[in-house]
Amino acid sequence: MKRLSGKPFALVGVNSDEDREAVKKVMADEKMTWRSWWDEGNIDGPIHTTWQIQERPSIHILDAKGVIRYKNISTEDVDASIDTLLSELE
Amino acid sequence: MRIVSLLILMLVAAYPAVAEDAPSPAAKQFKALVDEYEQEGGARTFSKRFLALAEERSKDPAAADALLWVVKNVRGRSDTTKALELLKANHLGSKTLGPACADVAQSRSLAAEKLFRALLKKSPHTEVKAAACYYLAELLNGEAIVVDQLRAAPELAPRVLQYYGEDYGKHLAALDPEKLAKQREQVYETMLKSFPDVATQDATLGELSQTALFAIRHLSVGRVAPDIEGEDAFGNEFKLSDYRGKVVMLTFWGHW
Repeated sequence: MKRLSGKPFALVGVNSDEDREAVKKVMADEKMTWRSWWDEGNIDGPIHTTWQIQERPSIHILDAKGVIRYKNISTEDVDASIDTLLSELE
Repeated sequence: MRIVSLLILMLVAAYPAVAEDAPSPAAKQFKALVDEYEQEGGARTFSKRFLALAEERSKDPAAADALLWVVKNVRGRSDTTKALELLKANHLGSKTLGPACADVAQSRSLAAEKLFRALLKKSPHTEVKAAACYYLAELLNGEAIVVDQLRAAPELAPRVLQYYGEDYGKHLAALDPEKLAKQREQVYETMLKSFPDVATQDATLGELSQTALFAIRHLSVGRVAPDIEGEDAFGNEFKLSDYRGKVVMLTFWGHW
């Protein structure tokens, strides 16, 4: 994600781990600088429920207007789709 | 003693009524054909004979059974389409069509959607209408998945044609995703309005349709994502809409 620094891009997450402290530890260990909502420690938490998430990890890419442009995409398609949406802003 | 004799009399009196319920000649033919098929196999050959029986005895309830046999045992063929068209022409009032809707949805024919829409309008039985509505939605959901797959991987087109047959395959390849989304929305609106209390294994049709409508309207590609408001593990509040103006990668994750 380094190559995207300085670009109008953000990575955010929704986390469904049970233990808040464990999340903090993982984030520190993995040097995760991006933020995640903590969804009450549950895959049935309110955010997962609203978004009807069936499997995890699940990656969605939104454009600068907040429109869902890619749903449940595979990790290998992430870079190309972000580049496509960034090029729309140039 | 008197009660016992009365019972016997009643049983004797009831007997002719039972005899009247004996299978019709068409029902007997249907049964014989099923037995023969179970001995020999070869659904595609037998489908012609089931169709012939249904056409010859088009007014008999057994004709509907014969047509549904074809729909269940032969998918994506011209005989499948013919059976669905005859069901629509002659058997819209049949109660047996309700439990058969799952097979109709799997039939891989353009005629399936038409049959569902006709049942939804004209069946005299609420449970048949509700089943037609539910499986029409399932059919269109399946089509939406194919449309998405074709959009992501156009090289799959020949396989779609092969699996769904020439007519239905071409129809699927030409479907407009936006129009299809609109159609799905309309079917779920009908479901919510007309059959909200009908129960399925998981939920009522009212609950199912509300979940589906939310997904179509707010969670589909091309729609503005629902806002997320909440706090991170450290207790800091933030919102998804804080990121407007940026491309956002949103990942649902856990360290399990």
